Amino acid sequence: MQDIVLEVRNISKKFPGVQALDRVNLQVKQHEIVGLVGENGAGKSTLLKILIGAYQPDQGEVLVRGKPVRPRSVKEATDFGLSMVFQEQSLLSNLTVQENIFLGNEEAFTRFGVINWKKMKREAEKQLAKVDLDLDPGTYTYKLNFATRQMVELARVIAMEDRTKFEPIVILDEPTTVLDGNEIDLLFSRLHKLKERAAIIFVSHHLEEVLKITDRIYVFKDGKNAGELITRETDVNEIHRLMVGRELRGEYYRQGKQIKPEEDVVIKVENLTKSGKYKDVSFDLHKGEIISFAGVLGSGREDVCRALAGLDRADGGKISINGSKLEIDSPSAAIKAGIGYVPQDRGVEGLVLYLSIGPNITLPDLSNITHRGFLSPKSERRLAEHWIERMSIKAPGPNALCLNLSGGNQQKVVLSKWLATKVKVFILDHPTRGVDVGAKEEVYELIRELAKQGIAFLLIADTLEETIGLSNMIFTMKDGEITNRIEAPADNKPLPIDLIKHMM
Amino acid sequence: MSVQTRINNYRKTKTWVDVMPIATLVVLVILMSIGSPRFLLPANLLGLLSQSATLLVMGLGQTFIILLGSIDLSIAPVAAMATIIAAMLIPDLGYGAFVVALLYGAFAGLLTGIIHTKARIPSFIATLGAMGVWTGIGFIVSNATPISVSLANGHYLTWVTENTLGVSNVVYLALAILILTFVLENYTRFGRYVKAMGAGEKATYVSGVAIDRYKIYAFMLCSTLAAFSGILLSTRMSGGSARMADGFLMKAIAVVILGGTAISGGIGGVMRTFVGVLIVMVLDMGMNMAGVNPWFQQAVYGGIIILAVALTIDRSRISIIK
Repeated sequence: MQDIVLEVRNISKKFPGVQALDRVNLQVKQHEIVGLVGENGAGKSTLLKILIGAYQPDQGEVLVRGKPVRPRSVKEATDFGLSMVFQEQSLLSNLTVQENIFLGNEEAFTRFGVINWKKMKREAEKQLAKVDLDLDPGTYTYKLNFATRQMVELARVIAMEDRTKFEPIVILDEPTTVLDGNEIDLLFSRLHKLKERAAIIFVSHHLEEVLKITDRIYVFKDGKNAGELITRETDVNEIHRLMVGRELRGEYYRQGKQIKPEEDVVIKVENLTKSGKYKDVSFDLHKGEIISFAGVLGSGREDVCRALAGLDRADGGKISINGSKLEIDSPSAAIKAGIGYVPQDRGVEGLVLYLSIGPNITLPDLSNITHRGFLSPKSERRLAEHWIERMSIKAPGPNALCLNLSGGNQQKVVLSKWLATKVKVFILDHPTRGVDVGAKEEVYELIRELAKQGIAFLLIADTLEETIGLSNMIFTMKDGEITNRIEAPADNKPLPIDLIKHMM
Repeated sequence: MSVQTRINNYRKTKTWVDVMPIATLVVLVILMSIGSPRFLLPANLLGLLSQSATLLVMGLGQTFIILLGSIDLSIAPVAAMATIIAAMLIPDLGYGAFVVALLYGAFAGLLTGIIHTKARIPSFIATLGAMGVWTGIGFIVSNATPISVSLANGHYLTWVTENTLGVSNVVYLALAILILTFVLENYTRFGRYVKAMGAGEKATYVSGVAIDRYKIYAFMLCSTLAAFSGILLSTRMSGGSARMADGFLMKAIAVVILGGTAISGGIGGVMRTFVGVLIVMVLDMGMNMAGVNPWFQQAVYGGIIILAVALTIDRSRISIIK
């Protein structure tokens, strides 16, 4: 019977408008590799951030080898034996390998404030040997490729075991996203070796890999435990089922109001390509149509949408609006084409939080409130009041800063902004993220209403259910290419399982 | 809307940063009038205002830059260059000298603005460099000696320092600039975009605003107003020199911050800078009366800037302070 080295007990964490984790439980045993899977927004990253000390849980506890711990910083977490190899590499490229391995922990080599580089180099060589990496520790990190850097990160994490007398608990967050086939096999062989002296949590969207390398698998869904599986007794289908099992509630997405798109093509995209991000993306968007892109991190869907919004120009391909070719090389070009972008990061790209509702709505087109060259505060106020009423925006007053509005109401301001410019196409990037349930339904209602008026939508939804419930058509994307086009008419909606197999 | 709702709405939109500067001013005025009974006499107050006119105009220009979340360190040498240009060209161009000085200001701002936006150099560095450049050029052009305007040409300058209706014309000019910048800030696209960029540049960019263009306009405005304040200076000093605007940079930044315009950008405005100037006016008088060494007064303003920023900076917006 192996010892339990890490236990997560009834951990909950709430963010404004959303319960990210709801009494989750997890156990990792000595010399075990445990997989953690779930959709975007299922709560995986939140849990990881709690484990490494970046967030504090609202409730519940974390126990390392039976003792409750509450790390308040990443350094504290590593002192308890918990550390993470990040998805977005965390090495400093202008430092050498040995400096990165011991970053923040140079005390062992320091005497009277001076670092003994020779000693550090010897130690670094020892750590690199643990992961079978034959590399001069004096190499500058920027010279290494991604796969090697990942190994260095792993070495950094394992180096901790010499400081804490216990075996480390290593968390790997999407470690294979930057690796190709051979490198993944190499990583796995090293992980097998590492297993003998550590406990590992392996988080990944690539279910085949999770099935290959782990001993047990936890499935999260909507911030809760959805299942605990023994790897050799399960398969991809069971994992899929647990990941998305909730029944689609048809009327939540106002499917009754879904309309058939019109004949007119509003945007025609041909062979849109951006090296490293997406390739040969082609589609037609019709008036009144809602098209969703379904895909995991790295699928390229966000990048395609940003290209159409003028924020991240494509390298090649053609975009035509109402028949004429267009270069969308800046947001103002996109706006002129009638495209309104509702970004994922509302507070940074969608709204100027320190301005009130009126100034935010009028920003793309001040001519709405300009009389004879001067802005009219009265016109602006009237405009703000109009939109507050029309969109049912709940605000303390028209002068309230957008900062003080709830997520759902902020989103309504963003939508109002574009509606005021007579937008023809909405690009919605995770539009209901951070929005409470009631407001979500209002947004869905609004989308249906606008589609009826002929406005077309490109949508990246938060969940597969949202994708399926809202769309007329779903494009699944994987590794930068459209892998399938699935129709989703109101009376014959596809199942999440039909989508997932093309996404992962 | 009921009175209570109005009060609640007001409370939710105003913070102590809005109220502090005026409260400080009121407290200082009260202290001063207790300490010196002649303080509140109109003659005294108007005299103080005319002394502060230069600082006000400079501060108004800097306000737009700080609203952007940037800084312009070159305003003092630009003002000094304007005094030199004015003094040198009056004999030949008469009033035209002032026009040239203003055009110079616009040009200096254009240069800084282009370097900042197109070469992507932080405003701190771009304007620091400009500061060095204009200081050096100022010394070269004036041969490191003050240039005086002869009595024969004096009439070009005195119209500013003369009184109309008992008030020095310089005060009218400064107030005219105040009104102009107030309109620019609140009633034009330019003003709106500056505020939006300072409060959220990315969102402003996504809304289709030509960020670089308006930043350049802001730097042009700031330098032109710096040149204007230089012109006011030259009329008071009857001449021009490269050292004429020494010490103004610190005070110009102080009046913007003290007035409540946040260093992080987006919040504040010219009226606040006006309050800041009034505070400095009163503070100056107090220090002079208390016999504080003028050099020490620079130290005082340095300390005030640090304190005012520490109190008003919104740390939630800038998590990494460099």
